[in-house]
Amino acid sequence: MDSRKSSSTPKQSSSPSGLATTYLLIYNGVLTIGWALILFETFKRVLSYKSVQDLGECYGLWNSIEIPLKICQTAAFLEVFHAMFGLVRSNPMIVLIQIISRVFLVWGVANYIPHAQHTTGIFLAVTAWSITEIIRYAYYALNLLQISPQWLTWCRYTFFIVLYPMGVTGELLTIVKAMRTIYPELVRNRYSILLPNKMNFGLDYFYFLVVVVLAYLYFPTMYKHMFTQRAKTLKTSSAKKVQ
Amino acid sequence: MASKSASNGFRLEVLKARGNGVVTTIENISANATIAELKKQVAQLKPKLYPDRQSYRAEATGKSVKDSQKLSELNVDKTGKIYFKDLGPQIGWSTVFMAEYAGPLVIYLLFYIRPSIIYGSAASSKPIHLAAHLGAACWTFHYAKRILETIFVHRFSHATMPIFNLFKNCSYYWGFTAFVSYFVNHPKYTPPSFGYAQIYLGLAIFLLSELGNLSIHLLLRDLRPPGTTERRIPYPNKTNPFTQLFNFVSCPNYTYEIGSWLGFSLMTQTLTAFLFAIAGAGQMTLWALGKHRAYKKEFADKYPKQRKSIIPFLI
Repeated sequence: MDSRKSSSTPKQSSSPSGLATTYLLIYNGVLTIGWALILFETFKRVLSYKSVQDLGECYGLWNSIEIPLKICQTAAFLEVFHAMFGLVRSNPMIVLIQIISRVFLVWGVANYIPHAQHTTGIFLAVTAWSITEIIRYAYYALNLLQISPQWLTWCRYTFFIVLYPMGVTGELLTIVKAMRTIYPELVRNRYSILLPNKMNFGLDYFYFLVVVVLAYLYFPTMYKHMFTQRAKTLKTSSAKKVQ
Repeated sequence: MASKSASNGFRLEVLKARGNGVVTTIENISANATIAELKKQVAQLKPKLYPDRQSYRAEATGKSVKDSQKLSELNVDKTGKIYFKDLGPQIGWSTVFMAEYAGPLVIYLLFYIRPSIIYGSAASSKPIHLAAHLGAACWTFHYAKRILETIFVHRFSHATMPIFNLFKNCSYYWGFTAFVSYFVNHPKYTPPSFGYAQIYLGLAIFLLSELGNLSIHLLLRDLRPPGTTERRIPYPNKTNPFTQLFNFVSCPNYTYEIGSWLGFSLMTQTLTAFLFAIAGAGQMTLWALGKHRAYKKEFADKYPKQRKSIIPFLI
């Protein structure tokens, strides 16, 4: 989910220009609020459910968060450019890959195949994403103002232990719901690109989703990587504290 | 520490560049010995680490040193230490290229015969369009040419590469072959919108580009006099007009290769062929930029200023 932890506290702050800092402050600030809004709406909706059955279906959840979710998640593409232009110290490729997986879930699964919106998976994924993103954007914003508290760093490098598997579970549940929906041939054809056509290109969306699920085999490796980053960062931070 | 005996020999510790640990210790090695000789000696002490796997640095986090360098030039005879990196299992370049190119040759044709396991049993009896026949011919020609060039034309500077590259490269070539071939040979293949004009134009572009690419390969091979390590700037020759592209770019072989695949895409009007062309163009642009930079660095003011790396006037 989020392993964009390559830059914690820079040893030599090559601080971006005043304009860049202001821009990043606004960007990070707006997104912190945006994700907080999404989290709030999510819980408001879920707490209104009366039975376990309701939670299993999550009716109305997608509708209530759809717009801020699409805006916040798609806006994240800007971060690829931030990394490319050196505004932020991250590897643009890594940023891109992470954003693509989330954006695909929003646009290529839930938005594209509406029945996939009715699963607990959405609740799990969006909760995990929003908590992670609130912490991450707040961390970036406060870092720019150089007032980032130690406990926030701790949160950023600790919450993932639960949130990352939770998010992945939610994403997979949503994809599986989508796959079950489009498995029958008549439904599948509606969502697929069929031959013959002028560009000689066909895409069976069900098998496409199979490939996407296989990509999640990367999860254990990413998870381990985040633990390594945690060990490196939190040890450094606590060592600094001694001063 | 290091002690110099009368024969200029000293005790050398071979240490791991990453982490701690001694790989081995050579009790007495001459300060005039080269890295190449060191590699041979280490291979004798540790047979699993054949010379092609060994990489050395004077400092733990330095750049690797060349085989021709003497230990004294690196001051290693004074420190008594040298740092070793295991490059992992190696495989010969020719082996790699054979695997990379033989795969596409075979895999493309596997789809061409319209196997029922992929296209269903009715597929093999359906007619095959000229564009699909030509597609198979061009694809086969391209990879057969590459295999022949690997055997008869190219001269490689490194003997080996890491074995992981083999897996990565084969996935790319074989995967894309299936991706392109599946659609061009599909029973529901749609011929190009502009008919035979488009097919023959695409074919012409493909063939001319293949010829151009071969011309550049031959020129590059003849650039270095055999037996020397002389490096020269490539220039167009008077006999082959395809080499004129050197007036505009440093890596015209890559330029021609892009041309081949664009011609192929035009001829077959297949999206995946075009994606393959784009992917190749992207990778080759990165290589060309590196090569171009290296040329400029090595030859400085002597290097023709109007040359770009891969696309004339652009990049």
